Amino acid sequence: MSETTNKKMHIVNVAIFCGLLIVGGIASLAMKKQTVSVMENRKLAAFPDYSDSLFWSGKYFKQIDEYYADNFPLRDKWISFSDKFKNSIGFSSSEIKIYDPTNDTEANEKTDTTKKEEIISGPLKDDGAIGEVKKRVFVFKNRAFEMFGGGPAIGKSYADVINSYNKLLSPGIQVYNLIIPVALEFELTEKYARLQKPNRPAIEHIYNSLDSNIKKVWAIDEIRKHRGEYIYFNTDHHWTSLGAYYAYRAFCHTAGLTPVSLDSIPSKTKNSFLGSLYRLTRDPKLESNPDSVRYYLFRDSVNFFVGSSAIGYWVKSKMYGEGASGPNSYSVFLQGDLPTVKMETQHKNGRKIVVVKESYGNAFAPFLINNYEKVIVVDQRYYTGDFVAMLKAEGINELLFINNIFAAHTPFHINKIKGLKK
Amino acid sequence: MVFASLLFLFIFLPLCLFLYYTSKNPKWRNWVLIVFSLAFYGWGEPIWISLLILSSLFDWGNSIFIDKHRGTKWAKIGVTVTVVFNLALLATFKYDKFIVDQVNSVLGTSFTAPGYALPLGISFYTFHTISYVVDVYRGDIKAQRNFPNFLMYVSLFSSLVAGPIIRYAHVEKEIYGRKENLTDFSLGVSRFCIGLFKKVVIANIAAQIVAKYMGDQTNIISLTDISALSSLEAWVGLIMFAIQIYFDFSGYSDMAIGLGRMFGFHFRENFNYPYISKSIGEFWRRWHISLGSIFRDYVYIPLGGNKKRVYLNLFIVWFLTGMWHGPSWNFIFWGLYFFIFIALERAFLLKLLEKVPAFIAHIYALVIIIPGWVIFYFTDTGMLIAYVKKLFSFTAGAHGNMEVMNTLSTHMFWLILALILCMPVYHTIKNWIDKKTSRTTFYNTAVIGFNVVLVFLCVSQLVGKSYNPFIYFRF
Repeated sequence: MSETTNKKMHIVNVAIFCGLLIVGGIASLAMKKQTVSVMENRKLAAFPDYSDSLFWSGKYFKQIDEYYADNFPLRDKWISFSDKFKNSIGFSSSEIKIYDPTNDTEANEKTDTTKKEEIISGPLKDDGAIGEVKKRVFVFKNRAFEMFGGGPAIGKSYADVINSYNKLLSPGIQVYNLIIPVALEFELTEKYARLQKPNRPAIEHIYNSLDSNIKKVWAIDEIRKHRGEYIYFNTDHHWTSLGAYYAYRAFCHTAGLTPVSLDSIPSKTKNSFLGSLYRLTRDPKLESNPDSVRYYLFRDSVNFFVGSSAIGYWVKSKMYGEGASGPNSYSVFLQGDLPTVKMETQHKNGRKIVVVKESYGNAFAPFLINNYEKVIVVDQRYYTGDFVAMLKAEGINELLFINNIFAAHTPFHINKIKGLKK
Repeated sequence: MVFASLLFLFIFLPLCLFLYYTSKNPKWRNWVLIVFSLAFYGWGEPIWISLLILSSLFDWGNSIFIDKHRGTKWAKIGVTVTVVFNLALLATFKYDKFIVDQVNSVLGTSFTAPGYALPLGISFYTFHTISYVVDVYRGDIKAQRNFPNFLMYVSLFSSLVAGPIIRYAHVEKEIYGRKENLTDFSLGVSRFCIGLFKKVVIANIAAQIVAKYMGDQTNIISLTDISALSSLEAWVGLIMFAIQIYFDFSGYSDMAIGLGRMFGFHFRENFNYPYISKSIGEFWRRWHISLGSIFRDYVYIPLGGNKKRVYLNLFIVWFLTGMWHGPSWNFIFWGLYFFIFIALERAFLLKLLEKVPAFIAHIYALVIIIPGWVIFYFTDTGMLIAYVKKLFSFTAGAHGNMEVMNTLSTHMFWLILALILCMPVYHTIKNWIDKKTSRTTFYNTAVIGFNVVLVFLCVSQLVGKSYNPFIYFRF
């Protein structure tokens, strides 16, 4: 009896195994393909175009492998199951968790082919200090933090680039520099203090390397006074508009301006924002602690324009991209990372500023409309126009380089800022 | 192509099985295997298919030549030509840079190596063909007259790129007209699932931890990174590598054996719980068995084996074993590292180990084997020395041990499972089950569900690997 039962079991085993492969195989070929993964913020691999060289190098097949894996049926569900599995193979009761995202480096920006921009000058030398810009993500209770590890040599090369603009433009244009610290700077308990490099000495090192006539904005000290407030997101690598506001106050102090008070300004919020650090780690504790993005509706009327690389060519638009939602909620500020935008106000005080920034600057720049006649924002990564000529053409007399501390220690960004000058 | 990929699992394998079992004629079945094997091979490097076919053709012709001139000097010339030809292939494609570097450093010359990319699996298939031709010469087997049959033996996708090294003599009767059956198919399926699990769920996860402390292609580390490690981190990295390499390699062998069985082949075991060894000699009888037996039968014994110059013979074998693993001095050092302990064991140590309690012998073996992996891992001597220093300095690192403790605790259940799977727990249970038929029936039923769970887990991990978020860019 059992001999035949065993045989039956073998038949069932083979049938189920082959069935799984066949069903999976057919589904993978038949199901509709997506082209974009919103969660991952990237295009999914497409089926490669054939070429002889691609074929003989073996890359053609490698790309088919990638295409197949990227387009596997129910991919999102598999991925979330895989996360759950990985979270269950050990004790997760510990209050911290450290992720080493293999893909989360600014290097991605270099490999991204959707933006065809060359890095204009040769790569900067790495200073080889431990961990230079290798990013790791640290989850403490239900908040995620990036861990800073930048070295002094690379900070110095950032300062050198800012100095080169100062030499070119001064006098006539007052240069400012504002380095934004990372959230972990303000959350560090003694226990975890060694996990990242302290930000203040790194910022101090940059500021000390800058020419004396460049105005240095000690935003870090102003933000530190408000460390208990909602100044950085729980699940995203950016700061909140409140964090940016305190940096703005520090800026006003340095620039001799009176900062606007937030008390009487109406605002709107976008809720259920699960940001980049959640997408990177997919940590369940972060999922349960979503963020809200607040943006301020200033009373001063402002004319907002989106520009292009052609000088003087502006198209009227809106300061906030109110359609931004879900994982893209941070893009509400200045409609995201546009190459350049311009804001013109009714403060005819002759003060005209250009802000050179990466995405951190988006939450910051809107505050300046309360103090300036003209604010032009330039994204150091995407602006392709003649930067210096634009400064002249727009009658600019102040120039702020505002960067987060990672960007100020990343050759990619430093090269991009350097490259604006052509 | 690799087994642990979605394309292999859901397209290649079902298609191959389908065409294989819908072909009735054994000849066509072999052709299905040849075509799929060449496609499997060519998926990575299409150009090297030519080398595989040419070298097979050469050795196949030579074996017939030897068979015809058996007993004459021509047979001897034939076998010598095959050995020289295959070793020349290895020298050209695998050791070119290594050899040129040595020549340059000794003679002060500045030759440049041709720098070919290493053709996939060349170390395995050259050993397939050498062992085959030598066996024909020795008269142990008859030469295979049919080239497609021979090509199928050399190129069979299950063992082509990462072993085990299949000896022709072991599968001679199965090359043509083998008897496939359902029980074998089913056992092959179960074996394949276990191998896939070992590779995808154990080895791949271990590899991520290894990369963190010891570096890899995606996480290149420098001497300063090593100097920033704590000794605990260094040990965790190394032990994870011991886990990774065992589960990676034995998982691959499991998949190869399982796949072979699905098509009616019965390959020999390649691993037998190496980490439970009580001596280094025993370790090498349990680790990559097919390689050890090749060196035993084709190098050690012909040199004189135990009968004369035994230590020299051992030295040569371990030098070559090390060198086989890669064109770099560290692999040779790794081989010679084992030579030292095997020689010591032969001289006196083994007798001593037999007298002491078993657990001491187990500890002795692990204490030799695990640090040995560090020699295997670092091809750069400076990095190797720095890492060894770190292992044995017992110091705290620049960042403390919080992160490594966190890594251990978040992988605790997984780690315990991996350690259990290093021991023959499964075989003990299986033996107990096999004593009663009622248990066997229950077991065979449970295995079905178990396989589904394993496949499910592996697929989720393989799909999960493609999760690749871009944080700082819009598309």
